[in-house]
Amino acid sequence: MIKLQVCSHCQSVHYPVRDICPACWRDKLAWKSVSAKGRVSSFTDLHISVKPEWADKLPLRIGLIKLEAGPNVLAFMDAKLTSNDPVILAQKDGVFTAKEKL
Amino acid sequence: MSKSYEDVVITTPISVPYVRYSDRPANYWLGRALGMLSEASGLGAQDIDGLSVSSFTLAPDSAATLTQHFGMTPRWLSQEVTGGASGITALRKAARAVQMGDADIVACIGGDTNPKHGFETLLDDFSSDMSAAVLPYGAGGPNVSFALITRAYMQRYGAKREDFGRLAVSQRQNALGYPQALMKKPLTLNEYLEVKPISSPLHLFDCVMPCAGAEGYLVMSASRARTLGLPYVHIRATCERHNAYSRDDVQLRTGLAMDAQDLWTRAGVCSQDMDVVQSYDDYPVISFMQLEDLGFCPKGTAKDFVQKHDFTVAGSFPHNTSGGQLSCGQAGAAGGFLGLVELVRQLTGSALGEQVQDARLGLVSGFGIINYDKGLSCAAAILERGHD
Ligand SMILES: [Zn+2]
Repeated sequence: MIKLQVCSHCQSVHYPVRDICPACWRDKLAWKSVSAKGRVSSFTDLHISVKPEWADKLPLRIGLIKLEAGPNVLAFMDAKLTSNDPVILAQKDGVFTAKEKL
Repeated sequence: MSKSYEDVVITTPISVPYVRYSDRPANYWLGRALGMLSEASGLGAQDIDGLSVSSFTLAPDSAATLTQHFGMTPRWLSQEVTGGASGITALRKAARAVQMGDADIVACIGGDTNPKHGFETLLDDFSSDMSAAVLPYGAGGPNVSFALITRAYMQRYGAKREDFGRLAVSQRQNALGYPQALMKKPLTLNEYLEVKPISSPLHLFDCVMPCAGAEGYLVMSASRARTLGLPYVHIRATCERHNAYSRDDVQLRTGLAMDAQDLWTRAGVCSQDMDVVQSYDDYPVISFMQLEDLGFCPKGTAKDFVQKHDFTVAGSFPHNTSGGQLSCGQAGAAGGFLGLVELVRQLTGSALGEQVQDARLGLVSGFGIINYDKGLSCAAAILERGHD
């Protein structure tokens, strides 16, 4: 499971962080556990960063993941993963990593 | 349905020549745009009673504080926040202000500075979603968002890098005739394909080069433009849309798809009538999507359209005739004005580079604000060469 904002009024799930619910405009968003399962919609191998501190970590594979819970998230992912692969996400300090769903 | 713009026109397209880096603030670049508008039109602060400003690097200043910087006393003021769509969204508001009498002459200007390392700072300040949900993944910025979109588009519709390359190569050829383009060397398809990757499938020539500069134009009544002896173009129809299709897994279409049919109906013309087209080209894939969503070709077939047509100025589909941002550089919000300013030049027979012969009708579209996974703002305008 991962923690995302869920609206206590309409039950919709949101990411990135919202201050009011985009679906019903109530201010009833609470952090709740939701499914960590998703599927890779697209990916990129990042070779050039705008920030110099990333230079020695590149290239990095970054995926766009459609979560079963609803939202899209970006995630670091294994270089063997590709589009349409089912994945499971881990979340640490607000950053997602996608692993192969076994 | 939106009403027609009657006799409101666009005149005086100007471009402040771009430079790669500048230590001057955005105020300077926007001020130069105003100065060039004045030089080209003979109008001054006493005549220009409306001001519209678009800039990413203007903070902490604003359109309001600029009135004091520029010694103006406008009775109508607007600041555009739509980035790559801002040249057109500025036009929409300015045209209505003139039509309704809230202003007589509106100066619309867009521009930015670009100090060394300025792009890094700009990204940090761009939006809360960019900071929280994109930059933590290697800080690739919009290159990452567009790489994800580009790969999904290629997978869905079978477009290849060669197809995007054909667009980039033809725009470079157009840029060779445009004196203000920063990219001055010819580009071959082979060079496009073999250059270093930035964020796959995007390579260097898919990405715009940030720079400093500004663009601008004036909006006024046709009778005023005639009195002043300024060549002008008519506004046949426009549209804008924000945060369209927000539930799509990946952005494979723009909000233009929602409004295109109505746009053509209001303009009373069809896509085949266009003599020249300017699309927003911060990455080739988004030009492909605009051409599709506006109905120049069916969805997913821009790859065939670009192979079937010659996109150079003298070709069968003159497109981004100044070279676009891919060859001119992207001077921040000026990128949202580049296509409109170039279209007004082409339709008034005053191209700085090569002129499209007998261009009477043209379309410009804009696309902007890559906040997170999608570009949020888009706009389009169909313009016509001035007549009495
Ligand atoms: Zn809700």
